[in-house]
Amino acid sequence: MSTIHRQVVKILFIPLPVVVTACACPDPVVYTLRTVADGKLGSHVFSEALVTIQMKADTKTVKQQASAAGGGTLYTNTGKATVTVDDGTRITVAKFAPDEVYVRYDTGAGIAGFGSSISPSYPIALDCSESQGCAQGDISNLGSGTLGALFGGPSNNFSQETNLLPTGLQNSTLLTGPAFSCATAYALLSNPIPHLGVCGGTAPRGLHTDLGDFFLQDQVGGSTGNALAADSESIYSGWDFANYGSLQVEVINR
Amino acid sequence: MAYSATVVTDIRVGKHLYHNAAVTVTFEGDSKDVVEATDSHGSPIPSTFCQNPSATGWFYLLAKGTASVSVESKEQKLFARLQPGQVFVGLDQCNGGIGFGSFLGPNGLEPAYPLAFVLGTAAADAAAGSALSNPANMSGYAWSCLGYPPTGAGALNGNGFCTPPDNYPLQSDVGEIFFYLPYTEINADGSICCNHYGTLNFGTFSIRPRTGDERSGR
Repeated sequence: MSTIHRQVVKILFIPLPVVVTACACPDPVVYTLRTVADGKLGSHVFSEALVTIQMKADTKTVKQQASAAGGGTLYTNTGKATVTVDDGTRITVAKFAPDEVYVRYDTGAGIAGFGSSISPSYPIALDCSESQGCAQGDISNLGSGTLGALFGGPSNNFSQETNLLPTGLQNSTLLTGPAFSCATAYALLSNPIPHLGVCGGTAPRGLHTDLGDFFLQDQVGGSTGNALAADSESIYSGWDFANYGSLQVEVINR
Repeated sequence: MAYSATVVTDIRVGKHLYHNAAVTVTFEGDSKDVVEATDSHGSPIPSTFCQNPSATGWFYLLAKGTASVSVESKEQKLFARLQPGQVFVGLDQCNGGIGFGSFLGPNGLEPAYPLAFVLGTAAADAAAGSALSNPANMSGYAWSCLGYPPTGAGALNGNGFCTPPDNYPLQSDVGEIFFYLPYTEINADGSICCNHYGTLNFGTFSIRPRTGDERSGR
């Protein structure tokens, strides 16, 4: 080994002070919302189809601000988004126009999903109030999924794995709840207690995709009510028989 | 028909645990092979809680067919073919349950393991007259539970918990597979709360004609 090489080796092995800093490392992140919904994509009208909205983004573009609900944080992010509709007759994958939808998680309201300029809760929001709509979240109760469980922080009422789920859009997590897909207002039903039925109207415009405009209008909501079979131990509410969904936050490479 | 269920959950394949992976179970069979499940005496097992007293419901299953599991995690995909005779498509008509059961576990027959659904629109579809014969999409409360329902219902006796699946592997061509139920509402003693409502996870279930079914007139 030459002298120069030996010096280089010595230099390389000189102990250096280790500086540890909090890493704000940007990572690719994929947001995937899966549910069953009613609507139209281009000219194709679908009823109770598998609907998947997926956005590929980066954790560094997550924005946060105080939740309007009075506590908690509103997280949002943007990226390239697609919608897949599978109604059994065909599977269609459409690309949203840039900035047409954004992903959101409002920890103050306990609501997550995809919003748009039409409404923060449209095209899909998970775990809105079953009687008040998406202006507020559902209280933590049976059927409100992990979103309801995480609302208000860890609790002895939930499994350890539930309490360990991250709250935010920068870390991998799973956010679940009943699915609301309505740009207007849900019809209000009163029997047996006040709750929302089906979506009352269409969106004022379609969400633009490369395959035409995309609409959702929930035709089930809480309308099914107690008409279904019920066991003797529970009193069912309308939203027990609604569509449910999950928003998977998956950070890649972390 | 092709029956397919998707949920995001924890699953182990061989020695690898996938956390919050998108898991899809698929079963291909012929709806003509759907049969009433029977007890040890050969009697059909009733589905007991129809709200309409005059209604009759039964527990149906379709065991003849092929089953597979796909796992998607961090943009990687894994596909596993299950060995035959382990998994069936189950339908609990009056209780409103539908999904995949298995001939595993301490009871020998599990209606909600590896993955089945109750409540949600799945309940409405399950209650429909020919629920395993007609194409449909539905969503509901997702259960992967040996010993479902946790506090029992009808002929099923729960003990408050789901039996850990680690001693009851599903055999596949890529190794043993175990489905977990990480997100639950619990009581003070750690048992699962509220029976059918106790899971905090939700998923989708679909029924489709298999490729070629329409052509062959099935």
